[in-house]
Amino acid sequence: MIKKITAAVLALSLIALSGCSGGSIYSNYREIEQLVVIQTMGIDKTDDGVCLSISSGSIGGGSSGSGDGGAGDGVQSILRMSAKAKSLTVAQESIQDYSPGEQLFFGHVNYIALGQSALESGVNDYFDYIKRDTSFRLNIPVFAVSGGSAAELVLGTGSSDYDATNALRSIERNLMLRGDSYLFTAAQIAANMDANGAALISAVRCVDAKESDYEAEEGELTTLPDGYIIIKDGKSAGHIPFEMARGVNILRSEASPSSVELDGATVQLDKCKCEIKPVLVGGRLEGLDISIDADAALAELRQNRKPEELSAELEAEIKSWIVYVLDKSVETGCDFLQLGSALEMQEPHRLRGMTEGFGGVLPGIYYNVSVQADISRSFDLDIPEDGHEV
Amino acid sequence: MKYNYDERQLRALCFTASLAPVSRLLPKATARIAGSGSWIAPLIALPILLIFILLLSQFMKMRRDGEGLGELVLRTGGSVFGGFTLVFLSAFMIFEGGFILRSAANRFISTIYPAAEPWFFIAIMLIMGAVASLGAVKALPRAARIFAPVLVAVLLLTLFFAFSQVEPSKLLPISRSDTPDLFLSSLVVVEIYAGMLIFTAVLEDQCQRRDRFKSLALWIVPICLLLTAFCAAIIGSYGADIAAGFSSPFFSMVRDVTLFRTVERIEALVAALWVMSDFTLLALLLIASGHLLRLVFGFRPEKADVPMFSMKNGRWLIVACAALSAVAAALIPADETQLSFISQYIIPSLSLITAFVILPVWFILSRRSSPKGQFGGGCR
Repeated sequence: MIKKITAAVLALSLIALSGCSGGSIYSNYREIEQLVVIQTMGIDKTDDGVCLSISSGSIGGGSSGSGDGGAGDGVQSILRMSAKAKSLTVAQESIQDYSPGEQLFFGHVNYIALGQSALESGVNDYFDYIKRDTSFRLNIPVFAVSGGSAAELVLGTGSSDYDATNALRSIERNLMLRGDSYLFTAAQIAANMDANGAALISAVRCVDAKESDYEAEEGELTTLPDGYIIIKDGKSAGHIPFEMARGVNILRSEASPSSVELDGATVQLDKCKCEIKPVLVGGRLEGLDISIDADAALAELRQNRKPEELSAELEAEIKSWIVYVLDKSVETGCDFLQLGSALEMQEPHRLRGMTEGFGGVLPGIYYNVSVQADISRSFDLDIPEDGHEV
Repeated sequence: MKYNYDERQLRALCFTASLAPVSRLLPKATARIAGSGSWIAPLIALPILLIFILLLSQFMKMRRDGEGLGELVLRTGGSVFGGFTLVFLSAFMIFEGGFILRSAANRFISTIYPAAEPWFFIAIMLIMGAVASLGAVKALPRAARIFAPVLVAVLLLTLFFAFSQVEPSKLLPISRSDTPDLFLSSLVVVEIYAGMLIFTAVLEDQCQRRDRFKSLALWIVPICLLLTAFCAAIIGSYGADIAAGFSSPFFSMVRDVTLFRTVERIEALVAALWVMSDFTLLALLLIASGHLLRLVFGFRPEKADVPMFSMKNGRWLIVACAALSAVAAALIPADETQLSFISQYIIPSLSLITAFVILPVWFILSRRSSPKGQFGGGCR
């Protein structure tokens, strides 16, 4: 009898296994076609709260939002919306209320942009929100919009065919290939701020798309990389322009092939090895010895230049990036490069506490920067030994 | 006598059950204590665990054929002292069972079903645990032999992809002055595995042990290495501060894992697989606590299979243990702070007291009160 009852109970329990939708334990379930997948999110600070801007991305940009537009004919429109509220959560809900389509899905946000106002007022709250909300991944790149708003980037970039997601994805791929700059993820930025209160966020700026695309619509914006925004104690403390941003990559030993414009020639920086050694006098940190070993290839030659002249010029160029970035670190009084952590790894006993305190030590020490550059190859043409008449 | 399961199945049971507290406590609790260096806590825990295994092995050497930890304690301590110890142990297990019900439900809510009510998860888990504990005991170690490789494969795969995000600067340096904190953080690992070894020792009445110390020592070494990689992947990806702040650092890390840039957001799948661990631990706790209480009340837990719903021979005590665990789950506060306090302080304290106070005291008392050569009826 008990066996029959058990069998009956088990058979009845199958009713509960009919999927998550329709009267099951979880009322928030939605079918995938009912979701609008948000791919880019912008955050700005307003007078009494925040402004959240979202864009769903286009079909060409990978997983896309569905929305209402043209769902039947396979063409899906880009959803761009924004809402102001006291908090990001309420802004999210507000956008949902105004959304003409289905459920907004934030689980696949690929990019987060922080506007100038958000950067100046403090980003800690926003990173707390990103970390706390289980919708977001932490390994997604965060961009800082230098001199503009995130709403401008998210709502204004692109046209009916593409949006900020495509533009930011393009920047991400280009930077990965060229090594001009480094994209920090939300996890890296948050961890760096936790470590010593300083971090870098990759900066972008919005420009009129007509500057390069004559077919662009009136008012259409596109996005360009713009170096880094320095964050100190949660707030924007300075800017490293794009031309100098390579200094950051070299100091982080993460430089990858990138073009360098010299006088009368263009070279491609192939490898750039950086070694940072602490100079300790009586157990006290007095300075830093930074030696850089660079390997480059000649890409263009427009004037009569000897290889050794080009090498010397390249060395001076690299040195100027490094010195600029280090000077910026001294000027802002923060170790946004996390050099303290690298030094503490080298000298764990004598330089204990440098991870947290190097920003304060930096203004009081000197740094020697030595660069050894070698132009060792030249693509399909030999390197002219005694210069080359153009 | 006929043995219903073997050592490998018991070790698999111990490992599978341990993954529930591991995912809850590591490296959250260790990072809170020792910061970025806490990823080596499992390695520091290894010698302490080996000492504990040696102690447990020596104590369990005194058992006779067909005896588990409960029978041994009762025989050597008598019905009063032995009974009191067994009641304490079963109360601890019932409480932990209640906590597992609550924390497993909370994990589902925080990782997959935001805003869902916990009672559905608690009820389903309780029914599963109660049914498993009323069924044949041998089914659980045998099921664990299937669960363990699945969970290990998921862990290894996740760690493999997670290691691409690890930054050495978040893990190093570790200096000598960190030693006290690191030692303290290693106790988190010690309490998890010491607790699991004690719980599974109760089930040894149906298992033959040969060289207990050697087999357990060889088993715990790869586990500590795996846990070291586990902690390193999480702390190396997020830093100690963020790892310590997450509710479930492992599942937060899984959220960021992408397989070959094609598969992502697999945390729901992984969190669902962890039900195997919750289920195994809950069933183990109910079986063990029911077993101990039946001994206290003078029943002889049967070795052979009995009908699932038979309440003869004190089997109603198993149902009582499940009911008490449900009551404990209902009484345990639902908020994260209280759950963290219970998981990081109360349960570890009880586990460490059992492993390093009660067990050694029993061992010493048993050795003193028994004539030389009295113990060791052919079992190890």
